[in-house]
Amino acid sequence: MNRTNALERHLLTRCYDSQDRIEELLTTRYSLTGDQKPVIHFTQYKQTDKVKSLLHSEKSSSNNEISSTRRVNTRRDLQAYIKTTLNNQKKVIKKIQAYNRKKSSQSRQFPLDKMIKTFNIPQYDEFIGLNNLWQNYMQELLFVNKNKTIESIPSLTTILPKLSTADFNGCLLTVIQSKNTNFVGLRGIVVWDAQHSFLICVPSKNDSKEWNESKDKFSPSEMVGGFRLVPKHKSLFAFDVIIPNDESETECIGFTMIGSRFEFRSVDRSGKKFKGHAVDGIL
Amino acid sequence: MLYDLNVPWPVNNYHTKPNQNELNNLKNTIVTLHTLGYTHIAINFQINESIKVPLNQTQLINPIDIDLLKLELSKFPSLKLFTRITIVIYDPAKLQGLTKIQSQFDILAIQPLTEKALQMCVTNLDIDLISFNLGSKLAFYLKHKTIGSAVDKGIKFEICYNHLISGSIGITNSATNPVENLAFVKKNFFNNVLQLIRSSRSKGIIISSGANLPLQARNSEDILILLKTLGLDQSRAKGCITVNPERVLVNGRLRIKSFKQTILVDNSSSSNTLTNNDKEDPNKKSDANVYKKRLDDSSSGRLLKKQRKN
Repeated sequence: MNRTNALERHLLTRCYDSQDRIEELLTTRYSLTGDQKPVIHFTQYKQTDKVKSLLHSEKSSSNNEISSTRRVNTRRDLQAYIKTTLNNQKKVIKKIQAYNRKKSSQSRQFPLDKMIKTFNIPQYDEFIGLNNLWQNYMQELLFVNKNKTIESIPSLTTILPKLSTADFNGCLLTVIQSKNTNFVGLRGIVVWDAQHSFLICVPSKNDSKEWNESKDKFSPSEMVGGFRLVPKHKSLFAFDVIIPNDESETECIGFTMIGSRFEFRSVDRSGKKFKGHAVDGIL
Repeated sequence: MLYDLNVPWPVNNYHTKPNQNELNNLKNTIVTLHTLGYTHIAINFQINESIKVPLNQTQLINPIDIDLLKLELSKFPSLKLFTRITIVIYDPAKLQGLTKIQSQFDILAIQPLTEKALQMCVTNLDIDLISFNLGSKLAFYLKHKTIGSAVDKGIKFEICYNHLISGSIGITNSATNPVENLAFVKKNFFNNVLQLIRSSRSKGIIISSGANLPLQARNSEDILILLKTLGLDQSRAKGCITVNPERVLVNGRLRIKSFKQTILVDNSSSSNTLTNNDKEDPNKKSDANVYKKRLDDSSSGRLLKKQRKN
């Protein structure tokens, strides 16, 4: 008989591991001399890995691109992290407020450090390294030419276009104008440059604002520090770039960023052709 | 803060220099305006399109000696002086080298004499302000479409009130009967302003003095009454001397200080970062060296220094 027995063969691949065994079963089943069986016994067989369907094509392992699912997951995780951190900050602030309301507990100091540790609130010191990296990147981008020497500061027409397409993760920003007056004076290191806002990590207590340097009483949110989400719309941000003149690093140049004109994702901004518009939207 | 964006520079060409008498007159006018409450004053250099601008020598493009004026008026620390150029255009094709002129003046204004010129100002040119000679009859009808698109782009329109109050100065030479001519000027002024207000739907209008003499300056109350008479409501009238001129100034200053309104240099003064021109070298506006500052001087600088040490 010249039959391929495709159906039976396919069914048997689900039951037996080795091709030899299947072949043997099929030959005995239809041989003239052997035991001609009217039935096939299908056993359950524990698969080590899934049997591939006929239409399945092997994935090439050399594919280095990040899959879209992974990208979505990363974004979602980041969002979740920011959300939980901001919520945790709120909780600590509430606790401090509750502590301040109770007159009886004034004798004992509020356990701020312990709270920050248990709620896992990011601290400014952790991001200083990032800021130092950013300063080096800026100095290389703006001032240093190919021979790694600095003769003079280039003119504004060469500096400013470079800055407008630069990366601002790690920059120490100061909010000098914002629709929300609570944000004015706030400063911190950019952790995430989102499309419509900056996530910045702010220092606590004395460093938190310019006019807090000589104070000794702080609001609960200034005590906690952590992340702030500052909208770019209708805000102005200031930042300084240190001039790499000598070892002492005593001079810098200040710049101001117009938030309303920066409402792009940093990926899109790098290749962006900027255009001036009516200034009514800035202030 | 009140703004007056038009105090005429006494000379209208590049060949002659103003004499001491004219300079004193200008200074007196500025001081008078300052005592009336104006803090931001722009000195206006008005030229005809036929005058050749020395485009090759950038330091000569701006004849206004703003450093000297600032030095002599340093008694008034809250007074901020800016420079402005107004180009009277008849034929738009003749206008050249605008980018070089732009970088030397804080505000760039254009006075179109024909409808074609106005159309081109609105569509093609990157300017801050359009002014009309309101004392004489306009040669064309102001269409809402043109004016409205200019307002959308952020270009403002100027009303210069000196035609109304300057009396017979500057008119007598051409007229046989000065009194009758003066009446015509006032009639034209009101006609033109009403037309401007109608076509712009009372948006994007600024008012400035154009005062040649100290006596021609008026305080904000008088201006508000004038604008109310012309049919603007209180808030729009107030915008004409506060918000709108500020935007003109910001627009012009950002062209010099920033790259396409994204990032600008200098963050030393928090209140008026966008318009500030204290540090700037008037001859070399793109020089970054003047913006150097010591880390210890600013608060964020001290914070930076502290963490760089660790």
